[in-house]
Amino acid sequence: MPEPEAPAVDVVGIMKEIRQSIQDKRARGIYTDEEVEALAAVRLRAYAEGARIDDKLLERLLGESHDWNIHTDYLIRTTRTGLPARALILAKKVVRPFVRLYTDHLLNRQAQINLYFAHLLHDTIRETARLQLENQALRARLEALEGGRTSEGASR
Amino acid sequence: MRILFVIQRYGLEVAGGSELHCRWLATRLARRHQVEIATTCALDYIEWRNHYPPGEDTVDGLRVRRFPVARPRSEHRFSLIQDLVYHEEHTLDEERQWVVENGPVCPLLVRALPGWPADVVVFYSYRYYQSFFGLPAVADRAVLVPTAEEDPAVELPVFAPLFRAPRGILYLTPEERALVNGVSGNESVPSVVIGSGINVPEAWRAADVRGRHALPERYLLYAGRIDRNKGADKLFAYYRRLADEWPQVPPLVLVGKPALPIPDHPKLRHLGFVSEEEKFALLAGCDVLLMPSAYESLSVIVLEAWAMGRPVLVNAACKVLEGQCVRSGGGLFYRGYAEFAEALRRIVDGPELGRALGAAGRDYVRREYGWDVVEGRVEGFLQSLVPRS
Repeated sequence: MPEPEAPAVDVVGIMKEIRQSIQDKRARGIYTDEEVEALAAVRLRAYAEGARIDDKLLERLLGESHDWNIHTDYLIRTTRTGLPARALILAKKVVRPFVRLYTDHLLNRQAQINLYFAHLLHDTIRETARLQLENQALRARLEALEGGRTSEGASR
Repeated sequence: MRILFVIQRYGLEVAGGSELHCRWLATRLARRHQVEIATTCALDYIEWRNHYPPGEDTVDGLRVRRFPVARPRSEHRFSLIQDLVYHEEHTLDEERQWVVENGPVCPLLVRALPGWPADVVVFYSYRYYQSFFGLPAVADRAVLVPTAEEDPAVELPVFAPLFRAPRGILYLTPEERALVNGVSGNESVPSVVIGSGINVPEAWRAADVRGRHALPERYLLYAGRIDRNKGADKLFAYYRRLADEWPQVPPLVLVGKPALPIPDHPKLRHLGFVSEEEKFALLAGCDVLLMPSAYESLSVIVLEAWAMGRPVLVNAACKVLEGQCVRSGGGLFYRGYAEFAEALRRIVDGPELGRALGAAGRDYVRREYGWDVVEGRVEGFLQSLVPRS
């Protein structure tokens, strides 16, 4: 006997319901970490755009790991072509180890400091975003309470 | 038809998604056509070190010819060039260099292709050396299976001509086709969405996974590479948070090779590698399969869960996974922790919903992903490309 057809499930409708219930919580001032994160990201982007930072660098700066500048290693490149390019790359490869002997230590330390500041600033902005949302929610509750007291007083 | 499959690695021990798809499809088509495989001697995809001996081999009765990898992949050189082409201003030559560093560098394989006596040459995975350099050499009889995901590589301009070059393209999902069309404007290249058949081992019922691994009655399942690229780190974070908020949440059972440390948590159970029979028994017994990856071109494990009549909960950041759930009605899809937690609660707390989702998924797999259906699509498409003699 053939098995009965599976009932169709409206997964889009179920997800809509789930999203609506999350929206309702948000209206009551209950925000998730992701929402705080999203608000913080909007602010960070606005600051960076104000400072006219290069788009690609900005993407890396806002990336999850912030590890955009901790590598002191780099590819040797040239815009020249042909034999001069090969000679130039060879010369750079010969010179690089001697230069890096003196610069790597400093660059590593600076990169670590930059990374620390990036984390510090991001976390601070995230925290202010969270506080702002909490503040908004408290205000909304206060206004609702005040509204309730006023209407209660008027009815007496 | 004489069909040649060209792929980065091939063998019974190779576990990658595209490699498995290639092996299954080649084996099926070999029942009616003359099928050969051209591949490298590599087994692992991190360094592509030569593992198999070069020359002739036989896998599942198919003739396989292996070519040595000229040099292993250097993770250091690759990450330097990737950093450059993903994040900095760069040239097309540097993108070509990215393909070379990605490997597996196998010029002997590329050189062997033009003289190969085949009517159709099917290349797997656009991002690897053998497709990038091999396909243009036989473009007039080449078919590409891109296995493209929504990662930065697919948007590199160096790949656009590759997507426009072949006689035809076999996509795994409609989302993959839309993605590749969008980045390369290759709508005029004939194509078909084929999906993948599912091989359920007959002996799965005999695998006593609960007894062997002392599993509880109810559990959630993650099966696959336990890797940051697959979203496993986020899954751990979400699950631990949920377990704090909801102590009754069923344990999370993990199957697969870990590429990151698994947190020490009383409700996380890592079983390591399991046999195919055990994997299907685990799927059949789980409350729900979790798929947190944002980068999937098909996700066979999701289809396998549906084949076993189980629901899935997937990351909606991956359009393919969301699209599959919407088309099948077999699973829910989340963006962020709040949706993950709420959707999981609904499936676990409402067994009726879980059953209905699983049944819809099973129906979808039977309808769209039976091997006969997939094979028919591939065969019809390839035959339409080969001139009748």
